[in-house]
Amino acid sequence: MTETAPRELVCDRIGKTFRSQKRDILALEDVSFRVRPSEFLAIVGPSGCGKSTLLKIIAGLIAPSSGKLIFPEPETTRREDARPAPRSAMVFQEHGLFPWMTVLDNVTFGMEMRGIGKPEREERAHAFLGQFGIDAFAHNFPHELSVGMRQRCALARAFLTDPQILLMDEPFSALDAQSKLVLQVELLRIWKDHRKTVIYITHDIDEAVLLADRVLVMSGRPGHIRQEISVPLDRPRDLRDREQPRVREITWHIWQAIESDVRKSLQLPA
Amino acid sequence: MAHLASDRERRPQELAAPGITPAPHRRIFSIVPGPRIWVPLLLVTLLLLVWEWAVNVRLLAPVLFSPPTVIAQTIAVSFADGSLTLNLGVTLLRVFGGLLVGGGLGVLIGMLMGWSRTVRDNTDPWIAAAHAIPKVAILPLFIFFLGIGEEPKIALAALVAFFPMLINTMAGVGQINPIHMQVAQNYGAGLPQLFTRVIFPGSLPLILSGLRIAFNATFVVVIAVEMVSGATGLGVILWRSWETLQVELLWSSLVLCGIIGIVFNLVLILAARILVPWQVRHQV
Ligand SMILES: Nc1ncnc2c1ncn2[C@@H]1O[C@H](COP(=O)(O)OP(=O)(O)OP(=O)(O)O)[C@@H](O)[C@H]1O
Ligand SMILES: [Mg+2]
Repeated sequence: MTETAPRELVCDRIGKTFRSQKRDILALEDVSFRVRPSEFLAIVGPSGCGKSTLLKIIAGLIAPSSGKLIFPEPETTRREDARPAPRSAMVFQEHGLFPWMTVLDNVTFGMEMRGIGKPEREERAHAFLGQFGIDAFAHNFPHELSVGMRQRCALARAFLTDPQILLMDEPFSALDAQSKLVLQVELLRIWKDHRKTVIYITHDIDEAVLLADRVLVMSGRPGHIRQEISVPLDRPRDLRDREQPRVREITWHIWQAIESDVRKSLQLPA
Repeated sequence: MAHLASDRERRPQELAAPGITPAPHRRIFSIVPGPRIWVPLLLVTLLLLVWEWAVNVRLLAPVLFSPPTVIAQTIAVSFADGSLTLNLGVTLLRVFGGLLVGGGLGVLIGMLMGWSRTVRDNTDPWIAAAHAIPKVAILPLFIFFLGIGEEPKIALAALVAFFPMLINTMAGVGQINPIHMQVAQNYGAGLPQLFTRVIFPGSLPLILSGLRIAFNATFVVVIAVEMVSGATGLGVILWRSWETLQVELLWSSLVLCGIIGIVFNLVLILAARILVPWQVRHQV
């Protein structure tokens, strides 16, 4: 490595073209940004602008067509775990849990892949599930749980894996409005204790502002970053913070940045 | 505003949706009872009565048909003197030998084909061709290479078990949600873990239904092989009783085949409850 090891995650002019027989789709072009350690970054943007693609590139699930991704140097491992923490752990919108594993096996999967022994990973899991109110369901299968509980399990799995960066792709968008609010508060609470670096994708501007330190607004065709808005709001936060005039203003600002894109995607005049 | 408890102080226990109970205790051994059993039982009894009556009044020629009471008697006697037990055992051994070897290979290759597009594209035509070849027709070839012992029979049974297991396993891998593969990869699973923790358990429901098809196909072929080239087995009994027109023995063997089919099906249903408890419908 030529430069000094970065402490930040760096996305440097990332581009992605999907090639198919019929035509090529330019999904991302020149996407550059940095994420500081322990930062909560939200990404909003109209449907199809390439948010999920970007997240999958960061997760290492698909390769970028151009540009590069620099991960921060891993901290020296705190524990004598068999293998180092993975770079990222992703939380999907839905169906991310393995249906054939119990809640316990699901949430310990990341630790299992790291070679952490069964007694230790189950001990850690029980502690975490207890805080999360799902310990009683450790031996249930995902189909026996409500959507909200499943998403809490998915969050628990990601946090327990203890990756360098947590990636969340609309984790609460399949929930009803009230459960969503409660889970947002829960996420804030857990995050406060762990201070993980998070990249959080959402369509919900209120959610982005409530959770994030900084919001990136993406725009489509091809996907690029249109604007960056920081949310200088004290932590810990709670739902009442949404009523602050400052927050209202930021939300309105983000909406203005997005509105024309959304109209375009709906074929409405701007 | 002291009465407004801060959101962040609240714990989420109450989030558990009503009606969802932490119930790790699953009922597994409860196949037999239940009101649904009575209608089929009644139908079977009715059929047996009509059958008995039809043979007695010679509506069905007694040279070709035995009445159920005689069949039941014959089965009981042949079990008692051991003649049927031995032959049944030999047949089942060949069937399960074939299932183990051929079915096992079918699952392994099926998982590879389901997982990799390249493997699938390059092997599918071969599989399609080999599947269409009537297996009994190549029995002489097997006998020529493997002798006249158990080997050619088990090899043929394995060949028959192979295809349904392979095809079902491949379909099973195909219906795994791609998200699960991505999750495994993202959480650091290597190839061996991908196969043991995702691809195999994910395709298990369809593997089990493949087993049902494979068992029946293998059973039929083993009987056929025994009829043409065996010294022992259910097929030999069937063939000899045709030759000597021992109808009661003939019908006893056929009924026994049916019973074996039912028993194996029940075993599979039980296996599904134990192995795929996460499947809401235990349909094999
Ligand atoms: N595997 C793929 N092959 C071809 N095109 C793809 C593929 N994945 C995504 N695309 C295309 O890339 C673009 C971006 O898709 P992506 O899923 O990243 O959008 P998104 O911002 O996550 O949308 P949404 O908000 O609806 O989730 C879309 O035009 C989509 O059709
Ligand atoms: Mg998306």
